[in-house]
Amino acid sequence: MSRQWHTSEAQAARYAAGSLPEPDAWSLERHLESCADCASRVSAAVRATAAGAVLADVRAAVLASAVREVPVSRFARLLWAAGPAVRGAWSAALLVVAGAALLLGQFRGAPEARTLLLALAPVVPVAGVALSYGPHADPLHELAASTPGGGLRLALTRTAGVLAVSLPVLTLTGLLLPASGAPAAAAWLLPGLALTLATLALAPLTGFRTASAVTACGWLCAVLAPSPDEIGARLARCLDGAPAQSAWGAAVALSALLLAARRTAYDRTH
Amino acid sequence: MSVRVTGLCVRHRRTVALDSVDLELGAGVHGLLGPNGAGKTSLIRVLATVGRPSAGRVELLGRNSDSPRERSGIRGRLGYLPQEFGFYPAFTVREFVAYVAWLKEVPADRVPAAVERALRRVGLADRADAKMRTLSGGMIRRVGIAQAVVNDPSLLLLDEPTAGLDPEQRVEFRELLRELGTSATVVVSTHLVEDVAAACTEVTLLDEGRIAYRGTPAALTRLGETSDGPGDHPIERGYTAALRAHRARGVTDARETV
Amino acid sequence: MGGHREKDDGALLRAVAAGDQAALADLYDRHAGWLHARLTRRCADPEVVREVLQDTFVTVWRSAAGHRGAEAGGWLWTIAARRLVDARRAQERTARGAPEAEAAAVPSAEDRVLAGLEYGDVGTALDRISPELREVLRATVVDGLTTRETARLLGIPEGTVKSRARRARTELRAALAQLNPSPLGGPA
Repeated sequence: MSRQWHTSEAQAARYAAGSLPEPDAWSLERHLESCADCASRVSAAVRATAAGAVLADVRAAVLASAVREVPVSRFARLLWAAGPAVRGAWSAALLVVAGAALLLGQFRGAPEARTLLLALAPVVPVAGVALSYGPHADPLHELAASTPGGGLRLALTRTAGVLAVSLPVLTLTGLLLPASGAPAAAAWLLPGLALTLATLALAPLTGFRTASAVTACGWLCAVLAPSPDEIGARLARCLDGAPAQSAWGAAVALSALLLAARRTAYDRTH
Repeated sequence: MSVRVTGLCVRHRRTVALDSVDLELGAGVHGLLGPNGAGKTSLIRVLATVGRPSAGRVELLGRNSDSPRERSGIRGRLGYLPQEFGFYPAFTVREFVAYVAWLKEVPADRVPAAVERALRRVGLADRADAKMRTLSGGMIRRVGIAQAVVNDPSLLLLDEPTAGLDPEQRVEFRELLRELGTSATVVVSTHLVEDVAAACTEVTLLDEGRIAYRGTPAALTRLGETSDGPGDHPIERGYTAALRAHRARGVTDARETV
Repeated sequence: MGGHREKDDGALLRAVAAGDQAALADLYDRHAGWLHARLTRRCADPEVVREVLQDTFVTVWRSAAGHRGAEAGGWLWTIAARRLVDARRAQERTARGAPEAEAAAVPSAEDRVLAGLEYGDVGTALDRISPELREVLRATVVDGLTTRETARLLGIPEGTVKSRARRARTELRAALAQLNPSPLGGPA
């Protein structure tokens, strides 16, 4: 737009005072929409009138609402993004498992309490993941699937939430139970992580329910069946010692690699 | 054109939901009409990058929605209200809309103001701190609309947004639609012909997975004025007339191929 | 003008989009004054004016990234005018007419007003038409509002807006013809 004229100080002052007659005011208003210099001049003139106080108030209010968010609230949002499982029935189930193990260890003084806990513990986060993400678990899934953050990012956030709750609770519970020859209380951490990541890597192919059923049943079958009275020995073979733990470490790495390779599959759901 | 669809087919197991649909949509409010099962929801789900086409090419906002990289760019500029709108009952309205803003990757420092504005636009600013479970059906629907617009989308997809709204809310909602349609491409599926008449710049009529009619609401109304199909308003008569004409064409096509 | 070279609107908007608070403050200082004056001419309630002004800049902070173009003034006014209409709606939830399609194209006489506004030659013609017609012209032509928004802003039915706009157009055309027998030429 071409511009042949600019606002004079006198005209700006009259407009600011509200005394500029209508047609001239219209021309001025149209002009201000595209001329930053005149906009500054007229705005300065308005600040000099009684409206100056209001302008200063609004300025403070605008700048106050334009602050960047503090990190705390981002953390809070992450927490409640952690998903339905952490907020719902799964947390209760987790506490039941831990509580039952403690009761068993406390009252019966059963040496197998820690063994049983270690056998079950790797499955707990897998169940949490199954209950946290996917069309069957999340009422918001259809909506989340249409957002850039609703794929792998959301699945990982929710998995992190599940792990953040289950790892300390189950490990501490294990520490409170009598050792009596069972593997160390933290020995289940790598298997738990490996099963969880394997579930995540498998899920885009099969869906979350099937994926978690496969990994959880696989573990339970390997440890519990065929003869339940040899659990202790089998569990020790699976968990005790550097070779077993390094194997689980390798499984974690492999699952993570698989998951990374399949990450784009996450933004397509069925 | 923000939506360019060519040869789109969607199949659910044995049934064909969409059958080689070609469609181009630009800025404005586009009404998607059609009987139940016509393929409206299937089309909206594909446009929302949630439904997967069995065949055809879908270009949204100038990007190919089949490529994962481009899809994520599309999704940031998308607003979607599914027909079955799920939510977390324990969240407050504000938390819920902020959560969707987080999913849509709205920069964290913009979220509070974006949520405020979205809630104001649907007239729910005074209920921002109410729990979702305490809201009526119409209010839930409005929260659904608020979450869809929280990122100022360039492509807004609303599946039956007026279901559960009372007449006054529907009038206000249409005004919001018109406002959104000035800058964005808005696709609204509805079975209420009067919503289309009042708020849409263009109508697309679907029947059995195919496009039966495209035109302006005014043209559909004119069609109704000159035909004697059933309906209380000219545009309703236009709707049934267009549908019958399409089906009649389908029958002759079928005869020719036999 | 002054000794120091200030950032232009485009640069300020980009900085605001990147989350720069100081840029928002600069933008506010440049534009809030005239926006306040312009709103005040259209709305007698200082509380509403204040609220609309604040809303406008909060919106700018949030959506500056979506705005392209070097000049902020026109965009700011568009936001402010829409907010003003919204505020009116909230204020007076009175009976409203049946919804109908928007008026189609902007009449040609209005285009001529728009083209002529910056050059002052329409001013005399505008002076000759009555205040209530002028009010409608201001809302539709200068402020760029739709029929519906104008109706809400002025608190009159849409039908009245349309008929006044028609009358204004006729009167304006007559006044222009008197002043300037040849059709209004494009700006030099």
